[in-house]
Amino acid sequence: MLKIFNTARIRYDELYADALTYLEEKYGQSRQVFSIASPFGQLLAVMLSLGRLIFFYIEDAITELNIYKANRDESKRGLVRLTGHDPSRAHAASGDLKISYNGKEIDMYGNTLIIPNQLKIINNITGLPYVLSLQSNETRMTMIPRSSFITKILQGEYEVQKVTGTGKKLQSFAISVKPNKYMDQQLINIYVNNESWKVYESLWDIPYNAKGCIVKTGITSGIDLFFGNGYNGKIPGIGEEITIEYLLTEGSEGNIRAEETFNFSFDEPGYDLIGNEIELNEILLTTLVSSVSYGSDPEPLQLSVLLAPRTSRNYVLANETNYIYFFEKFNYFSIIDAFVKYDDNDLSNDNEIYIFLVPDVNKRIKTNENYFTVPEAEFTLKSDEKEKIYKLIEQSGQRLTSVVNYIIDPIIRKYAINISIEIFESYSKEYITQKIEDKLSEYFLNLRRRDKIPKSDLIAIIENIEGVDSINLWFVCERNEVSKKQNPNNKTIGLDDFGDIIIAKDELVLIRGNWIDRNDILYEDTLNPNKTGMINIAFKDKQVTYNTEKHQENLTDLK
Amino acid sequence: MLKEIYHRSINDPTYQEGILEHSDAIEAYVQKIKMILNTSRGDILAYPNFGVNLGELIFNHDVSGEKIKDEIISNIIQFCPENKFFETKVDVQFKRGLTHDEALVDIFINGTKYLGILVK
Repeated sequence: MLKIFNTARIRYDELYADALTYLEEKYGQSRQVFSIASPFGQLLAVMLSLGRLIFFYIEDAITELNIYKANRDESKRGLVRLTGHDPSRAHAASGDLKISYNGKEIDMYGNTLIIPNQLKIINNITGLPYVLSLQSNETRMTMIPRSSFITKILQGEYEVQKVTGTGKKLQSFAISVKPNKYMDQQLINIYVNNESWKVYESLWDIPYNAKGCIVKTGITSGIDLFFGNGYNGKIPGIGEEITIEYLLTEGSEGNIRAEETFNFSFDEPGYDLIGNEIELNEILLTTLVSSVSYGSDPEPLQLSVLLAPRTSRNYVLANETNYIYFFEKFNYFSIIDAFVKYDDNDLSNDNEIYIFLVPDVNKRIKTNENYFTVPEAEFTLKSDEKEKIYKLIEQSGQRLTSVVNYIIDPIIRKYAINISIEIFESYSKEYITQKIEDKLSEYFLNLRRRDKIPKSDLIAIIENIEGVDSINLWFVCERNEVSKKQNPNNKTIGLDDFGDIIIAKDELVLIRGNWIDRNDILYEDTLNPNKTGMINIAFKDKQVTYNTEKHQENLTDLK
Repeated sequence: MLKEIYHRSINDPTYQEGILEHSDAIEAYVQKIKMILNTSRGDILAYPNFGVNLGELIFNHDVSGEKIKDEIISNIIQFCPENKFFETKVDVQFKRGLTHDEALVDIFINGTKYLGILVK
């Protein structure tokens, strides 16, 4: 059999060289005849180049079919979709706003002010738009002193896109949005010829010829919209107008903490009873009743890749994994845990799922705050946030009626960090202190471990700060100090034999003060270096000698 | 003995009918040079530097005849290994055409003119 190529030599230059060698031998020609300028050489080179491209396409196609190895974002999104996972879009921040009449008299017909639903207001501090979410198409306010009403607000503004039905089965439409703007996960309404059609999770859920459709997160941006085939869902007729109304949001950017300064202005007018426009900024005042929260960005692609294999194809919240998956999609929490209590010999709670959620403080932190200065309340869910989550679970329609879920409040365990440190004499203590605070803040803000916090992590971080020669560190646990004060022989609590922090299932560890140790020393909730606080650093200067310098160099090489 | 595909165009005045293969070393060399002159850069898959953008070079105001010669010679050296066996000379002459300048590129091999291309 003719043997030109060797399977061990399949690189392009090897294939080319082997083909040339074969031709040289076959035709008794010198290699210079087959240059790219000769017809023979050119045909050969182009054929081999085409072969190389074919190999490349095959390799690329195989690589892009593997969810963990795919390079292109579109491939990853496509594969994620194939697994049945629908990547979560952004969630608009929401809260309650009180709108009250300021008593100013204006020229209007009657004394009833009509405020339409979806009225746009602007946060003058951030410039972001919000909309009123009323229970009906409008609300009427009687203009008498102290009259007011409370309404829900959502961050974003409504937009509409229109497409035309083709009359064919399984019509699909890709609805894109502007860059850096996100479509809300839930606030999407579909109308066909101005009639509202219901959004279903799956094609199989749509009843025979029912007016329904499926909305999935788009592969590139926005959403993909699918209609039925007649049996499962009605087919939009040829030329029928399909309207897609959605809330365009900025996600987590729209969150406002209750104590934050804010200033809303009305961007659109209200009306009196005969339809005259009324400038609302002149007569209405706004007050935040609750924080505007729960705004989150779309699910990051890497998270989608991790979540995709865990997708529940039946879309039911039945077990702990389903709940973890459900909450991970919101991209709002730093710690998510769900557990059952099967092993407590109590049958009455076997249908209960306990959900442990810690909001991602990184999404709530202000630019001038760090882990140690952010208010403690930001680490836990407020009651209105918990209500929203319960509501969200119910609205999703995924909860099994036999399963009861409880969002448990984390038990805050307070710790302080004592550091004994030796620094080189040319470095200032203030600089090192600041660096330690910054690095530890970064560490704790990104902490995801649920079993323990090893002190070796912190030692390694601090040791890498320039100017630090030697460091020792230990944690002080509030609970342990209370216990030891009662009886010094009591077992150590909250710390293991190594001095690492142990985290129980429903505990949240915080480095915070405001407690007293066994020697009646008050650990204050401060970073003031002159007081005993969350982080206490004892400095010792180290003189730099020739040998210490050489040792540092060797150590750097070893690392 | 050299064997090469005969690929002179049917419109070539020296075209010989019925020949598929030839063994003339100079003919093969001339055909290679012709291939270089008639190919624009980037036309051949995987060889982006092969060919001379003759039209572009000639109608470019910033390029002199010498530069065009250099470009052709460097391509010949790179892609025609047999150039070391033949003394090759390139001559470029510009002349005024009806609407714009025209150029005549002549190729001399061992002192004999083998190829002349008019670019207009």
